[in-house]
Amino acid sequence: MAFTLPELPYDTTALEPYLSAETFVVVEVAAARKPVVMVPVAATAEITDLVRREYDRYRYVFRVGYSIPQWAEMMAGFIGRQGFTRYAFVGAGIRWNRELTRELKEALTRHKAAPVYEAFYSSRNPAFESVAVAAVSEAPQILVLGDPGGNSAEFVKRVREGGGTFPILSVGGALGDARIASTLPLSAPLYVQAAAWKGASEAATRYAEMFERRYGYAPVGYSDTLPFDAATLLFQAVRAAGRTDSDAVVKALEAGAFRGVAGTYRFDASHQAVWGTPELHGNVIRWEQGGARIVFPVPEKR
Amino acid sequence: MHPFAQILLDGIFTGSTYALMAAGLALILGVVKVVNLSHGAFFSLGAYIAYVLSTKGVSHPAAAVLPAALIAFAFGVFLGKSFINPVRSHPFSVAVGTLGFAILFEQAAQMLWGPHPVSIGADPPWAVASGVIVRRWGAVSLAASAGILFALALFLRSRWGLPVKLIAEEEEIAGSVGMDVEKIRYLTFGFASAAAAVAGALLAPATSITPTMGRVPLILSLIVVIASGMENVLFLFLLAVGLGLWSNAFAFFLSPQWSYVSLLAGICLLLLLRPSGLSATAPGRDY
Repeated sequence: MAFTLPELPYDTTALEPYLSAETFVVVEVAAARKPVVMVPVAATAEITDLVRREYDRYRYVFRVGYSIPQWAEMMAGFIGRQGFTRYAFVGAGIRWNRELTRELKEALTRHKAAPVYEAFYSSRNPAFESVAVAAVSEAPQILVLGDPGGNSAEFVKRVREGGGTFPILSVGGALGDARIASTLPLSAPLYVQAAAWKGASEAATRYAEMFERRYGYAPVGYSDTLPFDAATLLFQAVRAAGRTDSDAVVKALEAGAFRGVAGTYRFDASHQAVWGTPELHGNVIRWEQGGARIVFPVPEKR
Repeated sequence: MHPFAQILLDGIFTGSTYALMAAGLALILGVVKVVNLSHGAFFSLGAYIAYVLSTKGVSHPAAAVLPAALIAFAFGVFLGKSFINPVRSHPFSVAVGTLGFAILFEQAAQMLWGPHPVSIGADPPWAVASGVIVRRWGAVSLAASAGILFALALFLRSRWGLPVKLIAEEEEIAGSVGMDVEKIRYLTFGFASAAAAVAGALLAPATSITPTMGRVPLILSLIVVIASGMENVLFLFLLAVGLGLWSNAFAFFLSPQWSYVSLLAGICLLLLLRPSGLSATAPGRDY
């Protein structure tokens, strides 16, 4: 659902919903009505493909969150650094996951890693026992869990109950929630990919503390952080442009660098924030008793 | 691990929990003679009660059973007496009304516990034998479900169960011999709701708990009741376990994503061949 920033005219800017399907609707509205649209989290490549193919029509659309190829590269970077060569991929049977599986396979091939097991379950009635049993029996060195929803917690439980001692790397979402992670068995590593995490930078720490003070629980580092950054970037772009009309804001976003919680954002020609750089790279955290620790990239000691 | 044996055992565990839920639904269909679309909400209620207890430090799988049963029974009696009984002669109104209650519950759960999933810590497995892991929550679920259904079957065969059976088969005769039909109906509704809540409480450690988690078990238990018929508790239990086994085996050997669809397709085929359910051919009737 799109909403407007309070300082701006009603039809100048919009922030985006979560799901890719809803995002496309708003993207088309943006093409017609010309507000600047900041996509926080919908990751499918089609969004930026539209900008690349039909720039004049879709130039008002920008994406703050990482695209699927970028997501895959970040996860592959972590997996490669651990030295794993056999991985499994399990996730909800949604289009987004199938794209991620393909991109991850390609990215991990460069790190000389290959999948030993891949499975998708229906998110409405996941057959966890079978998938967990099959995954454990293939003995991967790491399992990538492509499910941001609540089913991911159940899957982790089933794997650990079934004797699976390999690390699990979650794409984020529900497993980034400390309230859920605290109920999961931590007999083996449980990693979560996040856009930003407390301790990664001063901005991330300030944000996490503010969020927790306001809402009573820690942010999950993706669906809360990225919309916050999207809103922040819009404000900064309007200030940089000195005007509120969409074309000026677009020019400012294309040309500038903007600081958010997750890092410094610059946009490429298809209006995709460039992730995977020293300035904007996301984090992988590991849940441990009592909290989470950033394991990739390791924060610099100050 | 012995994969195939593990799949079978896990299917039995999950199926036994659905059997408990289905038994409650069968009672409502047979005695109260309405389709209760709020049954899944009671399942979720049981799971949330287990979650609340776990936040207070009580996390044994069986600890939530009695509180869940009592609270759900009270709600079920209230719903049965205040809404179902007065409206039951209008089946569509009952269906819509119970669906409304289910949605009301989902919204209330969302306000109380949030829309995000919550989770209970699962204890380590109970035993490992010959490469097969016996999950703690699964063993408790199987024991509780089998025990409760066995008790239900005995009750229905006993003289105390006679009023329930008579109302299911010959409602007018039951009324004419002086039975308080309305009271028995809403008490049955309460008991059935308690059964659903117990199923939810037993399954809670194995799953993540959300306000809408009862929707799929509702559909599965409806499938079990319709396919097995409402007449034989044993058939119902065996069919529920069979569906759990089928779902797991299909997911393991073929495709996890299609296991649910295959289940529904199989049931449709079964109903084409036997529209009145499997137990229509079985001698004797429990209800």
